[in-house]
Amino acid sequence: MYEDILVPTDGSTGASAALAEAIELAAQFDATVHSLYVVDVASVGAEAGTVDLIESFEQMGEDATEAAATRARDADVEATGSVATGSPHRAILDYVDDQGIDLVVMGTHGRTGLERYLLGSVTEKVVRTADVPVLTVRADEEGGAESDEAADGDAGDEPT
Amino acid sequence: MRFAVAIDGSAESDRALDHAVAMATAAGAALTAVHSVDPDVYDTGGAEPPADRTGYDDRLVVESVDDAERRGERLLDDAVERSNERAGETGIDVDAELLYGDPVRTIPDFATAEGYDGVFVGHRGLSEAHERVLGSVAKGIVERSALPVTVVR
Repeated sequence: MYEDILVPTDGSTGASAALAEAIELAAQFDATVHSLYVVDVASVGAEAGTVDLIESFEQMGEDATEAAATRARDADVEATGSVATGSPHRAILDYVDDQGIDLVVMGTHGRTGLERYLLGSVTEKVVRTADVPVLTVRADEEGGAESDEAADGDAGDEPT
Repeated sequence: MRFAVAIDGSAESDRALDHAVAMATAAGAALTAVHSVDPDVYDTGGAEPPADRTGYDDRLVVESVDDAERRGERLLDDAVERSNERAGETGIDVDAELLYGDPVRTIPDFATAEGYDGVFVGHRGLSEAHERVLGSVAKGIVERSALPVTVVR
């Protein structure tokens, strides 16, 4: 079903929830988890000290993707980590093409207002432009959005 | 495990269905085809916008709920049939659910309340500008849903 699953990471809780889902799927289908961190060069700007700044972002990316790969390997799932530079959604789409990815898993944030709009913009762009299926996973916020939702509904059947 | 797939009769929704069937078959999960009855408004055409209210009455046709309901039932029947064909010998436990209202609300609410494990939805590749005007059911479902949503192009 899925052989190569890409989880872009930015070290956020949304990315962590997405990674958990990706590892679960990869374990089920014996797939490889690809963790990717993109250094958004445009957001760094082009001023004095930029090179140092980019290097420190790259280091952060190395750490984040290595942590993700370790988490996957701990679950007996094959994993790789890499760091790219550029515009995040372009770098993600390029990686999908280059590595023959067949599923992208990404986090989404809260459901209200400006936060959703700002923080979900990379996910939103990837959902709109990727040729492969994109699985979106809601991050558990403080208090837990999912338990709120479950309490709203009229209970229904237990998930099986 | 149980998955829900949003059905609207488009080519994208067929692809989402095929993907959901493959996924459900591989995972040994049950699948529910879901369609939300949401009557369409048609403009019967003309180069200029209508000049007055009467003009709008003449040109805009609102689909009756009965028609929309029949269309939905037919789409779901087709979806169930297609699922069974595609699942082949492995077989798949598939059923259908007709909802009423804006799919962006009804489908995530249904899937959450009924304890589904994931939702599949098709997405037409609209441009950003297009989408800002027309909106996107797929995006709406992603934003509203607390469940994992797989968007299939």
